Amino acid sequence: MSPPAPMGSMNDAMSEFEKRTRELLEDSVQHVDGRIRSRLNQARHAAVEQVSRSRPLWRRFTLVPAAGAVAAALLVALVFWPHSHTGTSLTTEAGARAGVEDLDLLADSDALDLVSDGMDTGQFYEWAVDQADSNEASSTGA
Amino acid sequence: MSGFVTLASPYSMPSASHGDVELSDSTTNNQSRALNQFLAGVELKAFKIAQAALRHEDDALDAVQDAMLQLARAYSDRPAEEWKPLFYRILENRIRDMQRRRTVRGRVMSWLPFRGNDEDDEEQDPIAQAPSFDPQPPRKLEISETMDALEKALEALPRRQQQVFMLRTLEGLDVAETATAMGCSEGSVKTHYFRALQSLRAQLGDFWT
Repeated sequence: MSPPAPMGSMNDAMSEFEKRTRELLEDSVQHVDGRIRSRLNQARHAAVEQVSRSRPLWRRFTLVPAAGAVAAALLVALVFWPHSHTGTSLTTEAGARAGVEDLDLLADSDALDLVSDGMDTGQFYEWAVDQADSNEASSTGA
Repeated sequence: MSGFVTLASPYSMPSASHGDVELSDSTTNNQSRALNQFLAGVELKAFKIAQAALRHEDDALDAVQDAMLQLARAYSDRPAEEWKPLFYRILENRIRDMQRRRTVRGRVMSWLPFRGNDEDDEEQDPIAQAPSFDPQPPRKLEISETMDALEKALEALPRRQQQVFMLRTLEGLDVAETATAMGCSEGSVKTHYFRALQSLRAQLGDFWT
């Protein structure tokens, strides 16, 4: 008996014995029962589904540009955040101070008394200017 | 007639060099289809090869299932031409693992004083156990007897010889593919195949004359 051909098609160098053996084995494959076929079918679908579910590695990298853009935006926001935060707080503090002064003025009972005493607003301003001028003259004279 | 018309083989894989999502989806679909076609073509033969090695239907099914999943998980992006030897390589590793585990389990069980038989605990399938009404004409009976003799002769072969014989004869792998599947040299494949043929001829001579 000669050993099988090293390369090439199996059929080329197949002896009768090998051919018959092959036919028998293939016949036995065709007669595999339904339970086995069903289980193999399920296993195959599970394997194929796994491929459908999993994204190839190169596809995962298609999200890199979008992720980079988001990261850059976050970086910019972080860099500018302290300045914008300080500006906002200064404005808020100034506004809050002005609000408090307005409240003081409104709550000033003397001013209300002034109005209720019938003093003209114009007279008051004249008086205030005179007061300021006299203070100035006294300070320079001294 | 256009010179650019090409016929794609059923296992041909489209290139995946573009980044657009639509193309990649169709690539994945083609890949899944090709893999499904490949596995459908090898699953029954793979089962017979595993069954000959493990001599147990459910173990053989488990081995084939594991090999399918492993191929899909790790090698589905490889060229389809490489799938067959890779698949049988994975299957062979799985079979070897199961045989080792079975050997260890057998040793452990042999030390236990009260060991039950797992086969007895399994519920028998009434359909499988029912007598067949299919008449057995003489020719069919003869084939059945020859097949039984062949299966017994195959089971009696050393593991490597059996594997080489099944891969080459049933699956039709050439020497190089068989060597890849078995993780050995082509020279070893030839030697194992030759010895397997000798043994089988010696045992089955009566059935083939």
